[in-house]
Amino acid sequence: MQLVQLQKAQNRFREHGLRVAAITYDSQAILAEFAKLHEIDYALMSDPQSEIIRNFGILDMDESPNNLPDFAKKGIALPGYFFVDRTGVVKEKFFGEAYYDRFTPNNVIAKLFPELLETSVPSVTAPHLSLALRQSDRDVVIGSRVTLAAELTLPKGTHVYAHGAPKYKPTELLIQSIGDTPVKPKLLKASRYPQAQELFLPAIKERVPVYKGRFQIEQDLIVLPPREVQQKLNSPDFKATDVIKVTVRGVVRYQACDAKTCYLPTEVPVSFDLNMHQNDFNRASESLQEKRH
Amino acid sequence: MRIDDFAWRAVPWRYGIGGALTTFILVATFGLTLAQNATSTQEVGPKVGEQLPAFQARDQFGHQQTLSSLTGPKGLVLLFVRSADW
Repeated sequence: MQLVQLQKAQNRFREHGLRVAAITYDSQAILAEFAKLHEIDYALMSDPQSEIIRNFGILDMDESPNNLPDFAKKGIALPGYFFVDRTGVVKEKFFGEAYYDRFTPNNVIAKLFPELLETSVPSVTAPHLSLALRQSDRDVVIGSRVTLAAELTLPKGTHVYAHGAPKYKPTELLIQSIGDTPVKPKLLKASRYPQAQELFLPAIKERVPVYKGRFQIEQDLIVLPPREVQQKLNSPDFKATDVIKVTVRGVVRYQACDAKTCYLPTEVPVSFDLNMHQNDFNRASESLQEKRH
Repeated sequence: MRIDDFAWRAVPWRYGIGGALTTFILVATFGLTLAQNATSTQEVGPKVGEQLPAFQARDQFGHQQTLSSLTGPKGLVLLFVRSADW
């Protein structure tokens, strides 16, 4: 699925002077067939002896049945991305924490260029400030790692608190549920908060970390919909073109102060819509399939 | 698609999570300030700031590719996936 998503996202990388390419341990024949089927025109490279994968040090050592289907060979790569400059120096890397944890290509773009997160809800009613919601992806599969974000714009003279301010509630984006089930904590990955400014409060003679103006707070989520949605997605009747909409809900919390007043801590409900697609479990043609050794 | 493929994929979601959960709660409680501006990545392979090992591989069209044949003016995003055949 990442390979197909990468084809769709390719032009967004190109617009920023970046090319994309992918490597797997599959034979060149399998990749040629897959590329033709999914119209993939970036370089999809074969590392049939897993030499590159070993040389890079990203061989997946876990050979338990949880991890691998029984037809898999040894020598698969841990899934992830390297962003390198023209000379091959690693600038960023994006590897999940488990095999099912897959950064979407659009999430990688959003990490490299935060302004490219797409605005999904331009305006949420919120006291004391303007609130917009952004997300890296709408179209996802089970295991996609996406970025969800809240963009806060404060009027001049207003501030909200950052983490580390004693006595004040820090600004937070908390993701709580997907569909009708709570989000498991292990599915919430890196959150990203901007650098806070220091504000001197003469009344208490303390410096406290705050945010002013416009800023964005981000939360990574590994998408795992409720069990009944998973069952529908994996049912034989579900077509590759079908989607199931699921809504991710949470809250943005903050405590705002202006020159005169510090308001009570506020909690604003937020939601992000996702279209769940079926994971692609289709195998290569039988004549091309490689048997376990 | 084959249903038995789903069976082995679906199972790991349901268990083996306890340790990760405990770790997460500790990180969530004490790690918030540390997480600021950080991109969480599993520490495998060349680190940020290091040089990628040289590589050469054949693509789906049969062309030999290297870093210099692949890169754009500002660089390359190289994706490793497990398999296109699952």
